[in-house]
Formats: sequence, C-alpha cells, structure tokens
Amino acid sequence: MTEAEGPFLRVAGLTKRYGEVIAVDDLALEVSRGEFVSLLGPSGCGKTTTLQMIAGFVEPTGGHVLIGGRDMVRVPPNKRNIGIVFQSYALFPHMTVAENVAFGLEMRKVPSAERASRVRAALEMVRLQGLEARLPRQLSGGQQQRVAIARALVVQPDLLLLDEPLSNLDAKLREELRVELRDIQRRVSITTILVTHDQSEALLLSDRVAVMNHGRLEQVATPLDCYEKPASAFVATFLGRCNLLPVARNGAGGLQLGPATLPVAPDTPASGALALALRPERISLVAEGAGILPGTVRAALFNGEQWLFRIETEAGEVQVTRANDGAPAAAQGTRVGLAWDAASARVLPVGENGAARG
Amino acid sequence: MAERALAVPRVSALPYLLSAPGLILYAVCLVAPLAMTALLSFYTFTMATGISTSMSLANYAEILADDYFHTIFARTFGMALAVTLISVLIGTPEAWILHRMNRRWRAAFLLVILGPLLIPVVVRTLGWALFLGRNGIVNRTLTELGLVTTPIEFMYTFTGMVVALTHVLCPFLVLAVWANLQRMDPATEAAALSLGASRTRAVLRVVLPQIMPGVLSGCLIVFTLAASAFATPAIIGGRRLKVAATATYDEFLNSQNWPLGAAIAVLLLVSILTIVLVWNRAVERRFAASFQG
Repeated sequence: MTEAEGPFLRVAGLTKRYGEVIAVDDLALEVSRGEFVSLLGPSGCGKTTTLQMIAGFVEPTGGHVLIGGRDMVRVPPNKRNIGIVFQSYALFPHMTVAENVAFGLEMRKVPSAERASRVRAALEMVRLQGLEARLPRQLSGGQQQRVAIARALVVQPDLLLLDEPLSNLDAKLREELRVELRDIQRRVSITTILVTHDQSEALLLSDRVAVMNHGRLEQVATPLDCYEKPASAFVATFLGRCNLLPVARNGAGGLQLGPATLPVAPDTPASGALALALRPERISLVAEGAGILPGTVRAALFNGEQWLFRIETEAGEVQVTRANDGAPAAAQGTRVGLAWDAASARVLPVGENGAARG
Repeated sequence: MAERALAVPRVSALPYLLSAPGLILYAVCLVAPLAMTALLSFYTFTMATGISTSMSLANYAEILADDYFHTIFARTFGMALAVTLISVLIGTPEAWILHRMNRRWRAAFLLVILGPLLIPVVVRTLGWALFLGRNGIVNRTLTELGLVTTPIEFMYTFTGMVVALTHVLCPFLVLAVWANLQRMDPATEAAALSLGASRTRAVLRVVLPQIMPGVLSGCLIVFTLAASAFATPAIIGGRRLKVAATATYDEFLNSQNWPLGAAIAVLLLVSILTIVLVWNRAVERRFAASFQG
C-alpha cells in the first residue's frame, strides 16, 4: 500500500440517517498512522454507527471514509483489510482457538506453513500459547477477548477497530486487559479506533479522544486537553466530574457568579447562556471570608482516598473533593470560602434549558 | 444448593406425586395402546377363524418374506428421505431469509410459512389434488398452452406424495433452523466478512456450521413425521401406492387382519425409533464438543 501524505484515516462529512432520525451528523475525523483514537460518548450518540460505517457494515447516507487515501465507501467490508474486535468477541464457536485465528489467513490464501507460524506468533502476543486446541466456550471471557484480538491482528490489517471490547469483562480483568491492549497496540503500532462509553478507558488508552453526542463530534483532543479544556458543557460533565455554575455577563464588563464577580477571559463566548465549569478537585476550601465564593458545608463524605464536600452557595450546590491527607475535614454546617485558580475554570456555553449541549 | 440438599430427603415423594397425573395420562394414553398393539401383533389370523390368541411370529415372518411389504417399507422410507432432503434444501435458505427480514415482514412471512400447519390436512391435500390433478389448474393451463398433450400425472404418484408432504412438513424444519439462527451471534458473520471472507464463504464456513444442529434436528422431525404420515399418502397415494401407515390401516379395516396390521405398525415404530436414536447419537457425538452447555 502507498504511504499517503497526511492523515491515514480520514472521515469527512460522514452522515447516517434512518428515516427522520440522524444517527451520525456530518462527522469529520482525521487519524494519523499508528494513532489510537477513541470515539467516546453515551449510548445512542452514533459512535457505533460511525464504527460500522468505517468497517463497511453500514452504508453511509453521505460522506467519505478514506483509508490510506483510498475512498472506501463503495468497498465491501471483506475488501477493506480492517481488523475488528467485537463487543461480543464474535468468535466462531465451532472452531478451535487456532482455527479462529487462522481464519483470516486462510481467506487470504496464506500457505499453511506460514499460516501456522503466524497463528503461533499471534497467540504468543496475547499470551495464549497452549490453548490452540480449545474451543471458545472452554475459555474465560478474558481469554476469549485475547483470541479476538489475535484473530483481528494476525492478518496485519491497515486499521484496527475495537467496539466496546472490554465492556463484557469484570472490573479487575478490564483494567488488566486495558494495559495489555495498549501495549499490543503500541508494539504493532497499528492505527486504532476504539468505541467506548467508558471515559476512563478512553482517557487511559487513547492518543486522542473524540467525544460524541447526538451524532456529532463535540471535541477531538488529547485526553489531557479534553479534560482540562473541555470545548462544551457536555464534554466537561461527560469526562470526569464537573460543577457547572450559571454565570452571566454583568454591566461592569465582568462575569457575575452569585455574589462574586470574575474577570472575563478572552475566549469567553460573546452571547448565550454561560456556565462556569469547575472540577471538584481544583477547588480548595479556605476560611470564611477568603476565597472567591462563600458557602456552607452541607455534607462531608469520606471514601478513604478522598473527601467529597457538598457546599451550598448562592450560585448553587458545588461539589468539592480533597485528597485525604489524614487531617479531619470541615464539618457539616461550617461556613467556608471556595477558592480556585483562574486557569482551572472555564466558561462554556450551555443550552437554553441548561442541558449539556455544545 | 446446600439448602436444597438438606430439604430433599424430607420431600422425596413429592416430585413423584406431582408428576403422577402426567405419568398416569402417559401410561393410559400411550403406553397401554402401544403395549396392546405389540401384543396383538403376535396373535394369529385366518380367514376362517378370525383372530386367535395363540402367539407366534408368523406376522413378522410374512412381512419380512413378502416383496409386497418390502416395497411398501422401501416406499415409506424413500418418501420420508425425499421429503427430508427437499425440506432441507428449501427450508434452510427459507429460515435464513426469514432471519434477515425486518420485523414487520418477518411476522407476515412467518404466517405464510406456518400456513400449511394451520389448514386441516384433508382440506390441504384436496387442495393439492385440485391444483395438480388430471383436470387441475396446472394441467389445464399446460394443455391449453400446448406444452403437454396428456396431463402430467400427480395423483397416485410418488412425486405427488412427496410434494404434498414437503409442503406441510417443511415448516418444522424452518422453525428448527430459525430457532438456531436466533441463538447465533450475528457478529460472527460480520467477523468473517471483516477477516476477508466473501458473503458466500461467510455463510458456508461460519453460519452453516453454527446452524447445523438446527438443520439436523429439523431433519429428524421432518423424517419422523413423513415416515409415519397417514392422511396425505392416503389421499394422494390412495390404495395404489401404499406406505406403512396406509397399509396398516388397510389390514385393520379392509382385510380385517388386525394382527398383521399391528405387526406392520410395530415394525414402522421400531424402524423409526432406531433411526432417531442412531441419528441423535451421531449428531450428539459430532456436535457435543462445540454446542452443549
């Protein structure tokens, strides 16, 4: 295949309509070779439909999918050379582990000697040596997942698509496999798209996260930028926890937050309803009278690692977390001041009904 | 589990008591008549004296020695086999198409497929007779178009029986395969495609092996029902083309030779049971590894 200039995978204007319903709306995404990008969003946001259009299982209503510069929209799924790991693993139940992994090589008419050695190498990569003769149902969920990964990668696809690959595993196994998945992806340096609704999975694994909502991309950025500089109220609340406090421009050229007045940052939207996005872990509790916003502690909850405070303020309830340093925390009813670094706060537009919408 | 293990000894009679009504019904309605038929098959019969209770294997000896009965049994199982094969060839793709349909169409077509089962056997068979008979629509059309000079025989032919039986038994195969398809993970087909298989290859290598248990159990149902079918062969085959079931009926009601009729019935039952058991064993052995549990 030819080394294309620019992005390896380019999705442009990709749209899918089901009658009146728009599942994916004019989606544009560029992914470089070897990059790991997550499509993150709540269920029904169109992320799976997008993946299926890239894979070729769903025909787009409009737009393009280019892999290595070649438009794939008219190419059938079996000619796209894409490896897919399905949510259900989709292993062939009547074939052994080795036969499952060999299937794609067989379809490509790889000679049997080479096939055997490549199957062996693929199973070694996912640490499943010795289980070649087992049937899928004789394996644990984690092992089945590894077979699925080996089966997708053994054919050396141009692109790897992961459709919620870890959602059927229990929490502990999920964490293990996450690390392993990331290692494997780095080692074979394959361009990868992960579809997930699990924000920590997306943040941990990806080079960049593409946050989707209502069929549209809300933000495409590195995990740190998505978290630190959310482009919309939706991104702010979907990735981690975030306080959204209503603010308004006042006559004096500042932002009114309850009784407090804040300076207007240069990137503040010119019009529309605004909210101040403030992460709970970036707010510190200071003595009454100090800080930016006064409030009263309504609840102080302790989970070992950290404290969670619910503070009542004139701007609404604010959640504050603080790492447990061994010292007792402010008790319920205490009047406190809330302080934060101006760089930690962002002013974002919100929808008319205050719903998270970009 | 521990609680159940403790509770079991105290109520050990309960399961038997609870299943007693069913067991009694089973004994009275199935086991008793079968036992009586089996017993009857050992009685002797002469035109002069009628049935006598002296026991012998004479009836079985007669059936096993007489070419007339060989033909009947060969026809019975030949017909069952033909119906089964045609049902597989028609029913498997039918189930596949049904499975791929959207919900609304599927409901309509399911009704079409199950249609034959909802129509009384006599009505349905007479319908076939009207449709394909000497003066039926098909023959009249063909004659008038000048395609044939003499009508194609359908009534009292082997083909006629196979066609009419396939019509009514194919739905059983469709249902068995369809039930199997619903248990299949649809992503496996997508996985095969993504790995480079063509649509045909994906179906042959990934879908078909997964629905084989459904096809095979559907075959068993169709074969058993076809081999023991009575009404359709009686109407379409008549007395010219007898199968085991209609031969039994004839011995009972026309020749009045009940013991011989009973012996035919017992032989039919035993042959079908043997085929079912051997088939089941073979299927289980073949698919036990991948499809149980």
